[in-house]
Amino acid sequence: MKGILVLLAGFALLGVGLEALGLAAGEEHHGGFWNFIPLWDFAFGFVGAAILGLVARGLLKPLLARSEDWYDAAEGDR
Amino acid sequence: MNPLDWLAIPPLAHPGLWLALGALVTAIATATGVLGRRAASAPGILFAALAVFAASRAPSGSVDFRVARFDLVWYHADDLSVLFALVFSIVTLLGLLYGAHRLGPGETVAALLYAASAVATVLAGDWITFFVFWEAMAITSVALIWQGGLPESRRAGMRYLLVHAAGGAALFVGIALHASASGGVLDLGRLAATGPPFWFLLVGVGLNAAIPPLHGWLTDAYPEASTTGAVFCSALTTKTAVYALLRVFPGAEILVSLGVAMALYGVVFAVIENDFRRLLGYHIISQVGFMVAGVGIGTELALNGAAAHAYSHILYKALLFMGAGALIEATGRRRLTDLGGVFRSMPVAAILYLVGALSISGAPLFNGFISKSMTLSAAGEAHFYFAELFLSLAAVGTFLSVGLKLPWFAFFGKDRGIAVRPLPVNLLAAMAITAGLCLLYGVRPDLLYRMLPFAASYDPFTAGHLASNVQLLVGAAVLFALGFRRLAPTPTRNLDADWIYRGRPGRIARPLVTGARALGPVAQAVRSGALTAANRAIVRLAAPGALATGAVRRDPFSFRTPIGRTVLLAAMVVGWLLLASRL
Amino acid sequence: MIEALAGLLVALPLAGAALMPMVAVLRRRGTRWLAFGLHLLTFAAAAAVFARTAATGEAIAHRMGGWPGPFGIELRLDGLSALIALLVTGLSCFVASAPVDASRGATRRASPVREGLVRGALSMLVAGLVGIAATRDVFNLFVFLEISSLAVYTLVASGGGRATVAAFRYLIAGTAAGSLYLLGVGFLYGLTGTLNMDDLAARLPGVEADAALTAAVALIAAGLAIKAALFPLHGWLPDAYVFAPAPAAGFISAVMAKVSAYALLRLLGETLRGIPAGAMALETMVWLGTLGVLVGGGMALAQRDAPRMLAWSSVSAMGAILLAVGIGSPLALAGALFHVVAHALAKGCLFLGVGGLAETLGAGDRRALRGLGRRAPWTAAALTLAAFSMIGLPPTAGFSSKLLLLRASLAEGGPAGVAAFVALLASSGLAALYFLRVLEGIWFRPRPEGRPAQRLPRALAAPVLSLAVLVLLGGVFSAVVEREFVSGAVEAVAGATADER
Repeated sequence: MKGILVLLAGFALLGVGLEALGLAAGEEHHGGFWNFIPLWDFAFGFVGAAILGLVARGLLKPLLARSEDWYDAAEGDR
Repeated sequence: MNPLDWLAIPPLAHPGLWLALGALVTAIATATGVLGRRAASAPGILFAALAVFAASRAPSGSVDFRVARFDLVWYHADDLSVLFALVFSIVTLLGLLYGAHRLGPGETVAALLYAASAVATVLAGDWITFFVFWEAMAITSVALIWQGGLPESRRAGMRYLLVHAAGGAALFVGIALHASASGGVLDLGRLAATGPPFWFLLVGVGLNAAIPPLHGWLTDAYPEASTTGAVFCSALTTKTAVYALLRVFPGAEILVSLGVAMALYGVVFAVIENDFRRLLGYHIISQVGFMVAGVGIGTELALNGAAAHAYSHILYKALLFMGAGALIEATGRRRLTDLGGVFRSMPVAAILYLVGALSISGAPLFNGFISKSMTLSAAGEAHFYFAELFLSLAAVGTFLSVGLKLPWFAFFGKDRGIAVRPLPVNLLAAMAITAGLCLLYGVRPDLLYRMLPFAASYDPFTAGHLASNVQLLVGAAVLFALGFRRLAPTPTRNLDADWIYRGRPGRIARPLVTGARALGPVAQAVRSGALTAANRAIVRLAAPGALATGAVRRDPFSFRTPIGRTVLLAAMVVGWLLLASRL
Repeated sequence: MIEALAGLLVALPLAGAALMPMVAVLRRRGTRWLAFGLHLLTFAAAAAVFARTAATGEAIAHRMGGWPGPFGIELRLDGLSALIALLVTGLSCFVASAPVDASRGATRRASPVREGLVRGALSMLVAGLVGIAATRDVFNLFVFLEISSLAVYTLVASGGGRATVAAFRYLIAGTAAGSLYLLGVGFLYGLTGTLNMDDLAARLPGVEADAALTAAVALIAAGLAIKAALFPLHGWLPDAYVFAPAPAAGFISAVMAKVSAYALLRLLGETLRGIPAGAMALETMVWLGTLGVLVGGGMALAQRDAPRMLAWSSVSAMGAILLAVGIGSPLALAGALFHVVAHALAKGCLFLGVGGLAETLGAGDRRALRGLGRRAPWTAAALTLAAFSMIGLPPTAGFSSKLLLLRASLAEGGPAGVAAFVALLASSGLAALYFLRVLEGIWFRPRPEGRPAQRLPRALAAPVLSLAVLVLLGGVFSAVVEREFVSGAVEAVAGATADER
């Protein structure tokens, strides 16, 4: 568990470093205003994943989940 | 002349020819007993290797064949079509190697013919040839799915066939309309994205590209194919459709929204999926969404991105399906809820799977990164900022499901003490080669870029791109680490678009699915349903009192309008004409 | 010489109508072959006339009694008329070759009086229908309309039992139609002082478009629309088709309503074109035809017995033909005429086959057809082909005509064109449902317990099979049909309208 945390922290540092490098090198940048917010992609990765999880688990699953043999039952007479 | 140079002569340069020959040789050799069942895939592997070789040297140009008044261009090679033909051939070779230990003659022949049809479709230069091989692909892919051997394979294959027949009909109407509008010009080329031909062609091609809501067949049938069959399926059908879109509708803006919607749709459904091959199926939809969006953006960079992403996708998605197949072969289980803690028993397969997972997630130095960031950059440069944003969101979701959820709950997580069978060498070798290709293209993108149809130059390895991707993945990983318990799969089945023909509406339309045999109930449903109510109203209007008689009650549709009413209606028609033309 | 043939086309069957009862009473054995020979001869005349018009592109005219131009009655066959005459006389040969009561079992023979009556009526019907196609005189057209109607009432009534009621209902509707038409002609005559179509077309632009002219157009359109079974004026059709005895039903269902559709095309599309009321009538026809396509298809799907299902599908087909006539572009007319031919062949085949079987079995329930495929594969195959044509599947004639109609409605555009396109597509779907249901019973279900074995009387099998072959040929050589048969007819109409402009 600890190893995973160290790994994550390392990649996070790498991400920050790369962004700094990119800024320092004055790379051309395209995109919406949000792309110019520092460390935007961290936040977007985290929040986006949370939103997807919430939408899927909270909204779609209650609507769509059925028992596994639901279609067999629905197709009935075979 | 060097014998290998013969492969540069058009008939022999057609990789589909070699694949079809492989099918023929396999069929003859196994039927005559020259080749045992256990070695059924051996000639196929040989011929697939020849196909790869032919595709890698295929000369540009067109060769046609005149039938009646049609020029059937059966060989049309340019950068775009050769790119697809090459990767189709490569994945066929890898797939056959992967399944060599268990492929019987039937499945080998079906797979080779399927691949041959797909290759011939992308090398077709006119709509007629294209349509013929497109339909052949539908039929041969069903033959492959049927080889899955489960009762459900047969049923899902039948549904798949019927859905594709409907798609083929739409395509045919589209081609006919296009032909009549263009005065019989049938060259496969760029078309305007307007008018009835466009919509029919979009439905026909879009069904094969699995654009929701026309995607139900994919997630329905692919998980029911055999472990090897799914590898071929994941690579060929949808990518042929992407090729068609690239060829015919580059820059059709509606495709941007459709592609973004696809990318998110697949991702969201994958989050709650339990059958891990269906989960990967949802990610086919999602990844094809990236390509469709790229086609819609339509700049040279975007089209290059779509083509490159198709190439990368075929490799890493084949690898993922190989990994999924390895899980099934080793454990006999296909649901995430039945799995857990098998990493120690099958570490090699697990690590190779993770290579595919990192590729699809767009991790730098894997091949998904070099093509996905191309599409995203193209979206940004063409000012499709929201498309770029939502596609990034889909990329996050992809990592969440394929890169984190699936491996965590299958390979790690709770150890259920599952007995694991050892995996054969050829299977692991095929996975290793595929993973090697994913890494090779990830480190040396120029190998792929130089094959792309357009000259737009692109450098994926800028600090900004790398930073963006690393940050996205780390963000998603942090969320998963905090909340993975909430993302745990449950043993449920989620309804999706196939509900239309499998669920309640399907009960009315089921006769169409189970064939002409049950067409009676349709009429019965129509008879006893809404029409009866409507009819009673008509009867009331047309023949008051008729309802009281027994005959009408037994068969409400046998009523006769009193003839006086016809005369009255005629008078009303006269009155209408008098009135209307005086107004 | 060839001009005389045009007169002979009407005179020959008319003579036959008088001759048949006498021959039947005096000399029983030869009647059938004599009738067949007579119809064949008429067909030969029609073929000669058609070949000439097709070759020269010019009409063949015959003036009754030598009276010239607008004064006398003129029979004139241009490409369109000749095509209709060819279709009518050709199909009559198939029906005339069968014994009068062929469908009621081989052992039963009709009485001499009945034989004479039915054969005479058939001849008279041909005379009337060919007359409608040939005449250039609007009053004369009414006369031929009545001649053909009287013959049809007789034919339908000859079925006996419920057919009598059906014939009576048809008689009422037909008489009302005739009266409306005649009234309209009366108005026209009062306005222009002429009855000749060309003369009318020449004089009408000079006539002030007042209420009388509008009324004339409305009355003529409504009268002919009843005859052509345009929805919602189709009330007479299902019963008349269902209860007519099988050989005659095959002919009636194939051509009767279509010849009236021809008359609508001639008058509204050609003579009365350019009049506001005429344009309005054509537009109304597109919408009513579209509705008819859908209602006919839906009702056919809901029927339990096979002949009624076929009759309702005729309502649907007439809707398709009339909506194309209403659209009126050359493409649409080509579609309409091709559909007239394709539908006549296929529907004739189906009514002869299914009607013949149903009568032998004594019930029209479509389940009676189950197991036919094993028992009589050739008949079943012929019916299957004809059904494919009705659905519009390649390679049958119905596919080519449906395609033309679809293209025409799409090219027309606008709400009416789109509605027609959708309705035509939907009608193919509906037809697929109701025909596949029957075909499934024919090929895949065992014969129901306790039912007699179905077998088509041999005298009906030959026409059924040959019609099915024609359906197939019409599809395979659709380009030839379009070029040699349809395009000349379309040019005849389009050319006339072009002259007018």
